[in-house]
Amino acid sequence: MKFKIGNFSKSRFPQLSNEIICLLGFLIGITIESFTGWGWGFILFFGFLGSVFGVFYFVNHTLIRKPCERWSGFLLLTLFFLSIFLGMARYEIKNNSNDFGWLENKIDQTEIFEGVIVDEPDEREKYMRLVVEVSGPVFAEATEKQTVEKKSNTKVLVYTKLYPKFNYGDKVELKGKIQKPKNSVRHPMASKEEVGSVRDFDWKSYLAKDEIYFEMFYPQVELVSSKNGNFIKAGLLSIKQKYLDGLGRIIPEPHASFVGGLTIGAKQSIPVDLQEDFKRTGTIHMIVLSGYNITLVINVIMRILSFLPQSFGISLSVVGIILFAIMTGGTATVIRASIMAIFVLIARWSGRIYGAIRALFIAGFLMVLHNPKILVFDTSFQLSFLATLALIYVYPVMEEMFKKILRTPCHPDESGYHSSKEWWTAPKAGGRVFKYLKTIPEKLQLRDIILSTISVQLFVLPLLLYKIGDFSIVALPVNILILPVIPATMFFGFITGILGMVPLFGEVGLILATPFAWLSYAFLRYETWVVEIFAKLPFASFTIPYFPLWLMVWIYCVFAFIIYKFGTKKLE
Amino acid sequence: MQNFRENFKYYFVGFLVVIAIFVWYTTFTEDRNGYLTVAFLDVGQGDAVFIDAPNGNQILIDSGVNKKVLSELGKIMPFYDRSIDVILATHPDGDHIGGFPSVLDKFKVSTIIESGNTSGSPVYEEFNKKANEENAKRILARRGQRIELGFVGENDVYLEILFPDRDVSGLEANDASIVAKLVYGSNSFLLTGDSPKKMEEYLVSLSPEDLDVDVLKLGHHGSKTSTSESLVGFASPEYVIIQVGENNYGHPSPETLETLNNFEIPILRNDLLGAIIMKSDGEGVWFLR
Repeated sequence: MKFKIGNFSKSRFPQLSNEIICLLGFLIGITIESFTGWGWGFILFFGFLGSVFGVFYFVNHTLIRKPCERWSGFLLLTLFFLSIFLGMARYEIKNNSNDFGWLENKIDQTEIFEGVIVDEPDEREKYMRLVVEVSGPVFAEATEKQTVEKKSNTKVLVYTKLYPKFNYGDKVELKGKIQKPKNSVRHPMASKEEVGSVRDFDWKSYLAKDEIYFEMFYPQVELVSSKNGNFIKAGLLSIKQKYLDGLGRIIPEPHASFVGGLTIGAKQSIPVDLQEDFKRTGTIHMIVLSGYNITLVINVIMRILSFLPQSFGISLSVVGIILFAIMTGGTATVIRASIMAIFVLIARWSGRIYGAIRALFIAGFLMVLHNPKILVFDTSFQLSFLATLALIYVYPVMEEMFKKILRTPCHPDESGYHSSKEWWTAPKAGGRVFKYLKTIPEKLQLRDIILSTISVQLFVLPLLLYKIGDFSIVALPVNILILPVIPATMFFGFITGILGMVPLFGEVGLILATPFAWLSYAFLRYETWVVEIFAKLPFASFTIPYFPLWLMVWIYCVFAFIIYKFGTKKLE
Repeated sequence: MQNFRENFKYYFVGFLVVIAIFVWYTTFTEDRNGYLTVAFLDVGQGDAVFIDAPNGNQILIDSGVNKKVLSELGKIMPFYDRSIDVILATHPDGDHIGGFPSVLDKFKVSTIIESGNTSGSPVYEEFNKKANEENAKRILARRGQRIELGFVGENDVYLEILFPDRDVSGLEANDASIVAKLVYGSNSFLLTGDSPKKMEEYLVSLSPEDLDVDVLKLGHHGSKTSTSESLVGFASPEYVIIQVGENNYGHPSPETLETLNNFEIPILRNDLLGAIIMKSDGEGVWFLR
């Protein structure tokens, strides 16, 4: 067959085969439907288009004895359009799967609803956010608790005061006005990392991806009964809470929250001004468990364990990742990122990179199939996918470049000057310096950690600029100063938290944990010190008010070209 | 492993150096050199005063509205200190006791002092619950009580309760505020909670000479309902403190600022200065930012 688009054989780059076409079509279909919401007319049109090409292909290949070669592209077109059809259809089905019409009629009326808290309460500085799955019965205010018919479940985002505290699994009665989320430039209650700083933010779609279609502001909340949730999830959340309590009892604030954020991503109680400093220095990824920091954390775990025999190291890392995902409460974001990271892990160690990439794409595809809304509306999903790609594709290129720079300087036993005329040619002493540069960081895995961090940050930058628009100039030096000690901080912090929550010993656990707590506190002090110093610089960060979509796409095309060029060269 | 064994002596020396640094660090932080520290913490719109006595005793009076008090305490307490001897809740309003549940969670507290005025609010119930779990002594504050904070030479350091002088459970929350005076040698601080004008005047009528202080923390975040002229007159402070943050109540009120201007007293405000840390050696009072 002459019609062959991809012939990048034996490389890490997938061939443009039938599967790729299908995947691409499916994703494009979902994207189109996410942005436009054209509805079934257009969806069926794409299906029809695909079928027409299919008929052509069928006629050409089966009925005509001598098939015309030029027509074989019809197979690809058929698959492409049918996949678009499927993608759009999947999105549309998901979009209409929620029957919340009954609540639409209640908007802006004071009503009493009953529901169960289905997520961990999200405690902010001045208020608390609860995700309540409202199930009815609904009582009209006037009638005496008269049950209206049973309705389907719908999630409502409820804002309440900090007290009384509620837990996952509590059944509550809400009395107040139900509202539809509004897309304002600055949603009154949304935090900045969700909204971005200056941009218009699609708050409605952001909530809709988690199937939340309604909000309630400060209703009267009354506890009906407890423990209505999934007992496994409830158990994990209570472990998480005990862990954080243990940390808080030994390490002072805000460092306790910081190490809590580092190890299991509970950033809620970090003071807002410190969070702001993290943002200004491009280090907020350390404490927000969303997207690419999980990839980084896991990368660090596996590098630290890399001194172990390979198979043992891999299994231990996988176990570590699973424990990590469980500890963090196993939210969808964490699970997605963990699955993807495990693929990279296998890829890096097995050497079967192409297979791992396939697996990564299949995992991504299944996640999108499960909830098509994440493709366009979940920045976290996009970030973790890109971060994983960066570790596979960008990291080797960076490593090559770095090695090239370090390989060239002279050896100490040479006469003193190199014959080469390149700028890094140095006399003996300089050569020694280079030698140290070469050996020390490698020993501690620092070089790999730094290089992979740079790769990931570089690769997600265009997306971050497009989505949020905050650009930190000092991100690179701050990350290089901080990241090498993060593993040690996490390690000691984790031991502290675990010992601190051992229920048998009580105070004894706390005493045992104290030396570890102090060690991690020393590191935490250093890290916050660096962050605060750099955040004070007047030019540390600025906001780009407008970063168009086409620019982001264009930059990624350039990235792809560079990676393709350098990546394949290396393999030859 | 090989490396580790070879370099063991260096690791060991490093370990000893760290220990030595730690020991000297604690020696310097634990020796207060006879200084009393009173820190008016920056907790936004709310009150929180941390007292660190020359002998190391610590009192936290009120706790702001939320967890922010924890990181404020983290800034001024040494990192290994995870206990506070006394917490004192002037009255059960959210902007005064809102941080206590988390303080009780994270710190070991041995004594809890309250006015006896209670509230049905969720914050108070949470505070009450945590206070009961804490296994601490709970005391009702009454006029004449003294919390002894040790002697420095001749000078006695103590916190004296000026109000309430009776059962205040039936009063409105602000009216029931505990008013306390911290004394060290010739220096004194008057801490008034949210006490309104009528209570101030009542205290003046009881014993005006008790109210003459160096530092006055204004009642009710500088609201016009507090800070009567007679109180400011009898107190004749060197500094006044206004514990205020961003708010919709118009605190501090222009009337109050006017009163203070008339007396020409320098005003220290948390919303402008952040945490206000005052030191005293028993003879003079000064403030650090």
